[in-house]
Amino acid sequence: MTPDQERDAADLMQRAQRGDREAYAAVLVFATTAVRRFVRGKWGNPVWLDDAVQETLMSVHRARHTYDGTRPFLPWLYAIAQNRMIDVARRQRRVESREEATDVLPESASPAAEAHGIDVERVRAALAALPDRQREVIEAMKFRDESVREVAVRLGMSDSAVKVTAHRGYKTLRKLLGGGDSER
Amino acid sequence: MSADRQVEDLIAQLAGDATPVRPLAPVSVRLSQWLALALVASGIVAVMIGVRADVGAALAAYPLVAASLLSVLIAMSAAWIALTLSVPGAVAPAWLDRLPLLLAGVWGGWWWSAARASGQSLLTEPWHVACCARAVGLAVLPLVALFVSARRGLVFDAGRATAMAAVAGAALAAGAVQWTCPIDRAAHLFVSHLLPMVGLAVAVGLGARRALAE
Repeated sequence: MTPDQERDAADLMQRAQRGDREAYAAVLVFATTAVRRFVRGKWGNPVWLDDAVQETLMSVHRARHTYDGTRPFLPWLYAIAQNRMIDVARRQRRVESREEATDVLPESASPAAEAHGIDVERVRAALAALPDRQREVIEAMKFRDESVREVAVRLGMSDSAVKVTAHRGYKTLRKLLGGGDSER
Repeated sequence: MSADRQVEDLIAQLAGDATPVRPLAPVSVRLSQWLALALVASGIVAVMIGVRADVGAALAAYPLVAASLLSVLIAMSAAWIALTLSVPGAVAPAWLDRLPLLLAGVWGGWWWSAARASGQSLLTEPWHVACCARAVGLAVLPLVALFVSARRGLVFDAGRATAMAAVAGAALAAGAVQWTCPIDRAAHLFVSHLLPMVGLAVAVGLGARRALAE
């Protein structure tokens, strides 16, 4: 990134703070390139690169009021990217550790699932039968540990819409799995 | 959907939601605002509790003035760090890092050595519940104001930011309570003014982390 590009980004960000959508889109495109380079510079080309980029963009959106136009843009962006990178890398490690456990027992469900009498194949089939939006929300929250807010921003929904969609999905799942639709 | 396409869609969504925002004021401005508000609030609460009757004479002697100055310096430096931590990429000067705890150590050491020099025992010094309660009352508003100000930003290191905010509020209260208490005995100041505020800072620092977490 050249100093001119960074100055342009700082100017665009200040316009974005005033509500200029074109400037905001431009600064997010700039941020995407900068964050990709930043992550690659530190971690090579990790499988979670795009997750880190998307999470950083969401945090930039939430924290755009904290950018001070009198200061350089990149240290502000990189501080956000650094923290999101750590979160995403940690989450990836958790997912990988679960996947290792599955590799050990490829033919059956996890011991914990078996101990609770859970038929993993039935759960998978029930999930597949859910409407797309419900399945997407439940997979994001339960399998990828995303927060309600993160899911809401990514799918362009309000927080309450995410909660309602998840709730409906759980009810449908319970019905599909023969548990009725009683509330617990 | 490819990853590039997902990023493009996300950018379009976020740009579509680009409502105007009020930029966060610089740390120096937020620090000044907090300090002014905290001093005024402490003054009002001290008047409500009852300012010591001998305040004129106490001001002429150096301990009240020196302790008040120390408490404000500790509060300012700790609040400066807490507010800096609420701005991504902002870095406080290196010399500031340990200043609050260093000054708090100087303060505690001063009263501890003064108590020992005058033959007062810290172990047998009675603990005044009233002073402790006043100090807690004096700490509430500055603490709440600082947490609110820090929460306007984006805090990544919530543990440290909470600890520094707690030190700031507790230090200010430990200084302010001396304006409401006529006892200037060093052992009393150490046991009933300073130690409860150390306890408060530790409790808030450990217990209120979620208040500043993202």
